[in-house]
Amino acid sequence: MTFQGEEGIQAPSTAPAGGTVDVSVGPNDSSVEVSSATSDDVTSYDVSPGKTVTIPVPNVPGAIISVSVGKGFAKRIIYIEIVATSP
Amino acid sequence: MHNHLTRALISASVSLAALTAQTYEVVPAAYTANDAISFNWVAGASKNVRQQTLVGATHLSSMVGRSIVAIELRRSAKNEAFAGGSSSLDVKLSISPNAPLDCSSTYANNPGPAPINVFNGTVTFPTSPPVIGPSVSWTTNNVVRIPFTTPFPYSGGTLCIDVIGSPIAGQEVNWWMADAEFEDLPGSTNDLGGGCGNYGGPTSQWANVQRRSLVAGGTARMFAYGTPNGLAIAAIGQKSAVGTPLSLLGFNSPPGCELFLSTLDMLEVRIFAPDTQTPWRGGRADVELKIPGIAAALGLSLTTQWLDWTQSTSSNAIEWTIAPAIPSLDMALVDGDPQEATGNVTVHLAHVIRFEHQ
Repeated sequence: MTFQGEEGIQAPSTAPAGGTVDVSVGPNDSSVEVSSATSDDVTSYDVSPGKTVTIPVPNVPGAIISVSVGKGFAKRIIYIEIVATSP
Repeated sequence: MHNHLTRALISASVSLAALTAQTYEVVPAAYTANDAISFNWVAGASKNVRQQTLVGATHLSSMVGRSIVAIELRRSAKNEAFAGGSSSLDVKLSISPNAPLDCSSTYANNPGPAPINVFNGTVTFPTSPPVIGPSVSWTTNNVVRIPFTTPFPYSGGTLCIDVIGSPIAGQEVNWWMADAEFEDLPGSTNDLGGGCGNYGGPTSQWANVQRRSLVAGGTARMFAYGTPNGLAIAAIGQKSAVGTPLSLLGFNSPPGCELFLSTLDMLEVRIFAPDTQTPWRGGRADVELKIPGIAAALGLSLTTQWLDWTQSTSSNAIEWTIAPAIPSLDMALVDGDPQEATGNVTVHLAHVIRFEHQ
């Protein structure tokens, strides 16, 4: 499993469909915004003192989740691919 | 006579050495040896970042009359190695006109009138092996050290540390997290419903309030998604227990659009700024309100509901309440992009910093 982190958000590049994924937040933002890569349904998750947010993963293998913090030039974003779990 | 002179010279040398001896001060002092509860990234490690830290005078009394010659950030404890690299930093120190609870989100408002450029150059992020904690030593492998080329004489007051960092191509530091203290003082939010329109998914929840921004002395942050380049109106007031259909107020709104405000205390007009990175989310509008760091602000409740003027639709209304205690950290951090005039203010979260002074 590879981890991405150069955007100040650390998470694996893939996540199990129907499971969860942990996202660590480097900047001092108080929330992370999550949506599927083509959806206008944005969910905001609170960033606790440990700076790791557990995000539910939709049961849609092959879809992409966008995870972001901040806005404007300070916006940081990563993408996580949803993969099928082993039967 | 000779022995008397020798003793006098030795005594004078010891006194001189004591006066110029390097000493260290860790802020907050509680984390001199042990890891704090949180972490925060460091300016310039992987992205262009500006970070201003305000350090309250209560932390620095032992440094009055002395000169600061370096600052250090220590890695956060984690069973994870941090790969090293380098970044380019420009660091200015000054005495801020603002106490930490009065910290402004506008960068230009926080430094004092005569900032001193104490460092401009390359800083090393060491490759740091895993440190489980709770103790984390200030050894070379655990520390990002900024040695000043110009000492900063500290004579009291709130210290403003203004850092602009840029990554160096080929030497980027993708994940090197510095220790930070985080006072857990969240406010609270309550979604009242009333949303409609093309954004926010099936429940039309296209507005948000960051509950951890609801801290006395901090900056309440609320935002909404809507028609890109369209007019966004944030209405703030007291909540209504019953929703009033927007159509009854003269708007050509679809069913489900209901106003959950009984008073209109504030109107903030914005534009839903288009987002080229995530265009599917819609444009985004933000409102930030400075919360006074006073007891009268504690527990204050208001409700925010947005109007997407283009669609004549309402967002979900969110009742928000300020946290019941004032942060005692006496530090503030403004974190953001150097191209922006403003950054994200936290008065509950700031780096653990070690000052070297003489």
